[in-house]
Formats: sequence, structure tokens, C-alpha cells
Amino acid sequence: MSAVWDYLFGSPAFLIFGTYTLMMIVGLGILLHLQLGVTGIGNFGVAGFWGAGLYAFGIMQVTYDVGFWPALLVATAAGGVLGLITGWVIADLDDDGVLAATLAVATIVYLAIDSEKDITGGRVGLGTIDFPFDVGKRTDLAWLAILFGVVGVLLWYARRVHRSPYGRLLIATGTNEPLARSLRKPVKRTKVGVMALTSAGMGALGGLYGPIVHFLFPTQLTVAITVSVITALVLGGQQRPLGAFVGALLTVGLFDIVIKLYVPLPKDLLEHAFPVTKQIIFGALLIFVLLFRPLGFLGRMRRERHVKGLSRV
Amino acid sequence: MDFVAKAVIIGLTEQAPLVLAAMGMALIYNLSKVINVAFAETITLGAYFAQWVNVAFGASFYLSLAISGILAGVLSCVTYLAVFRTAERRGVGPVEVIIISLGLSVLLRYALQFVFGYEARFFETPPPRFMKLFGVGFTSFQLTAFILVVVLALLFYLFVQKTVWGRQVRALASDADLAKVSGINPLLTTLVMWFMAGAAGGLAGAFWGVGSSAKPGLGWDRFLLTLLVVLVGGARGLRGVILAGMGTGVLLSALKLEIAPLRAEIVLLVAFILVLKLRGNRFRELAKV
Repeated sequence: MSAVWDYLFGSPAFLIFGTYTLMMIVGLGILLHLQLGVTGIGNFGVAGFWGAGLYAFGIMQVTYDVGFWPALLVATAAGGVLGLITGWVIADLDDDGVLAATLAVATIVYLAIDSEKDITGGRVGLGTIDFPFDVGKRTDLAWLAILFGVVGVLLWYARRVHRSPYGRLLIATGTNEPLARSLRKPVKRTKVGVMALTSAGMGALGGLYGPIVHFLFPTQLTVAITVSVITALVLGGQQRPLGAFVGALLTVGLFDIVIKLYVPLPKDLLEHAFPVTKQIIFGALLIFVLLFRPLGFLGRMRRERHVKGLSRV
Repeated sequence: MDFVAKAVIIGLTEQAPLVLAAMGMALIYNLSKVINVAFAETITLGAYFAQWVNVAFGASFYLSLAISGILAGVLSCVTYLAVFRTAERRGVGPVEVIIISLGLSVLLRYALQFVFGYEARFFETPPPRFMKLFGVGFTSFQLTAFILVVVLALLFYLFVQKTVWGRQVRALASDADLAKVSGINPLLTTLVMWFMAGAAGGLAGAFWGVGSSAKPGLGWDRFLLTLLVVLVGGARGLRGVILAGMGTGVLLSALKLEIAPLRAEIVLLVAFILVLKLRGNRFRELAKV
């Protein structure tokens, strides 16, 4: 029994960090589900909105010595304002324009962090950021519980949205925008609103990630974050609130927790070949799932299964 | 005058490959209505192919350039047949096609590390001569690259505008059904166009690579700027893409002369976003090859 316990929880720090990453991807995936799966906005700059929150939180805590709650509020606001501006830009653009604009926003965030060294620390880094409380050895576990709670709230909200009149408006916008517009639905306002709200959520998740890594670097905001979130959502099912959760378990859970912690790989393989192979598999998954099972592992919502032509895909 | 001359010379010599890359991407965009994110990897692989031919076989840069263009063109056709044609046949939506191309981009970017290794790879070329024009210094290599890019861009433009193949590509882009009725073979014409696009991307990658090194992120680092040039300049056809590419190079170098390089890139991206916002959805309607 003790041997099994040691095998499963022998490296609690690594296990906890892996679970942090998993929860972060699930949270971002649920928010991307509302953007892409429900409203049809292809946000390819997830890392930028998340990074804006992460750095806003870090700057408030480290540079201005602000407390946890005001810093988290600023992180949320940073993501929200960025989402509001992006939503305004993309409201009348087609999918190609949305791709360009969201990628550009993420790149601007990255460049701004890299260039404004006096505030962000640039490539040297920004830190240290500590947990807002200290309960001894169990502080990291307590933070993980909080993260579980936040992701739970996001999941609950996404499920509520599906059942609400607001959700029907989002689905109408995502399914057939010209029709929704002809029915006098406020399509433009809806898109701006959903971008602002969900990007604020991404900013808040960024803020909550700060104490986990303690030190912030611009290299943490690479496109790999966006690819991981999109892969998880697409694999699980972009039109289902639980899609990101299932997809993240099958991707991040499998690679960053199960294989990394429990498969005895040589160190050299783990450092070089493993992350590269992971990205190759993520890329292949995106292609195969969208070509051969576009609604992902979970498929479409139960209530929509008998309605033909409702899905965008 | 001094400032303008500097901005023009630096902008044109440093960003000349951007014009080639944007022309390649615009060809695919205008014919297949696809923004192919994996085009970034065509650029990257162009650099790797050229470096490999140059170093492994001791070929001159110009010979490796030609081979790299052909190999990148073939790779582009293979990606079309294996992925994009399948997506087209299965009626995959536009956002999903973009995500598929993102997946292909990630797959290629990391897979090439298994083939070419994790480290940056350098070309073996003779050291360049340094020259000056209007007080602005540049290398003989940059000048040759600029002239070659201008010639190649002109050849691509003439190919699309003046040859039978070019007319077929334009006919297919304007009205696919009518083109088929007129006896145009859509698959062959599409493959010719994807080959041309891939070759343009590969050549751009080789020019960028010889200026620095062949590395996995080479194409991705330049993808956004290429995409923005295509979206903004593409509204006026290939001529618009060439002008937008050159204008972008000059504007970027002018900004870099005045402010820090990273801030200059931020200003340029904000300007592009504003243009996107102001011109809205009219790109696709206006876009003609």
C-alpha cells in the first residue's frame, strides 16, 4: 500500500505543478469554448490575454507592492480591457481578419513586456510573487484547491450560459451571423461583450498563475499556451462546456502528469525529444480531429443531436 | 532627405524577402480562400533546405536557393493534397481550416527538429563586401538578395498576369464552376499555384536564413507581418501585396531609426490593426489575383 502511495505521490511538488498547468488549460479552454465553440470567434491570441493578466498582476505585486485582491482586480481588468478593444476591432472582420487581429494583440503584449524593461523586468524576469497566504507545507495544495474552485465556477457559468437566453444569442451569432443580424440581434455588441468578459476571465487566470511560477518571463507567453488550449478544446469538443476538461485530461494530463511523472524516461529524452514529440502529437491531433471528428470526443450537445444543420462545423 | 534615404535603403534591403513571402501567401489566399498558417513552416523549411544543400553538398548559395525553392514548392503541394484538399472535400468550415493549418504548422515546426536538429544551422558563404549608398552601409549580399527578390517578384507577377497558367489560376479564383466548364483542370491548376506559392515562401526563407541562420521559429516569427501585408495589400491584387510589402519594410526601418526596435514593431502592428478595423470585411470582396 505504502509502495503504491509512494509511486503515485512520491513527487508531490511535480504532481501539484502538473495539476496547476492542467487546471490552467482547462480554465482557458472553457473561456475559449465560449468564444470559439459558442460565439464562433477564433481567438488565436489566448496567450496574450492570459499574459496581460499575468504581468498586470506581477507588476502590481512586485513593482507597486499592491495587495493580492487589488492586483487580481487589475489583472482581470487588463484582460477585460484588452478583450474589449480586440472585440471592437474584430466585430466586423471575417475569420482571416480575426486570426490576424488576435495574433497581433498577443504579439503586442509579448513585445510590450519584452521592451518595457523598467516596469516588466524584460527578459531578466519579474519576481518574486508569493502566495497571498501561508499555511505551511500545504500552501501549494490550498492554492490548487482554490484553482479547482475557480475552474469549477467557470464550468458552472459556461453550462448556465448554454441554458440562458444570452447563451441562445451567442449560439445564434456563432451559428449564422447574417441571420442573427437580420433578426435584429445585437451581433456586434454581443461579440464585443463576450470578448471582454471571457478575456477578463483569461486575465484573472493569468493573475492566479503568478504565485505558482513566482518569477515571470516573456517566454512564458509563447504560442505553445494557445496551441495547448486549442488542442484540448478541439479534442474534447469545442461545442461542449466539458470539452476543454476532457481534452486537457487527454493531452496535458497524459503528457505533463502521467508520462512525465510515472513513465521512467531517460533525462536527455525528457528534456529534448519529449516536449518536441508532445507538440508534434498536438499538431497531428488538431488536424485529424477536425478532419475526421470535427465535434471532438464529446460530440454535440444532447439537445442538439436531432437538429440537422445547427452546428457550424 | 538623409533620414528618408536611410529608411528606404535599410527597409528595402532588410525586408525584401517579406515581399516574396507575402506574394506566396497571397496566391494561396486568393485562389483557395485559405489563410494557411503552415505557410510559416514553408518559409522555415526553405531556409533549412537551402542551408542543407549549401553545407552538405558544398553548393553555392544561388544553386541551393534554386533547389530550396523547388523542394519548398513540392512540400507545399504535398500539404495541399494531404491536408487542405481533404478538408475542402469534407466541407470543413473556415475557422476550422485555420485551426487545421495551425496544427500542421506546429507539426512541421517540431518534426523538422528531429530531422535537422534542435540547434540553429548556419550557411557557408564567402564573407560579403561592405558598401555605402547615400551614407547608408549595407553588404554586397544584401544588395544581391534585394535585386534577386525584385527579379523573382517580377517573374511571379508576370507569371500570374501574363501566362496561360496564370490566367487559369485567376479564372479558378474568380469562378471555379465557370473555370471547370471552360476546360480548366482545377487540380492541376491548383497544384501549380500551390507549388508557386511554396517556392516563393521557400525562397523568402532561404534569403532570411542566409542573413541570420536556419532555425525552427524563423517562419513563425515573420508569419504575422506576412499575413498582415497579405490582408492589407491583397485588396489591390499582387501589385498591392508588393507595394504593401515594400511599404511595410520602409515604414518599419523608419520607425526603428526613431524609436527602439521593439517599440517600432508595436507601432507597426497597431497601425496594421487600425487599417484592418477601418477596412473591415472588404478584403475578400476586393481581393483579385
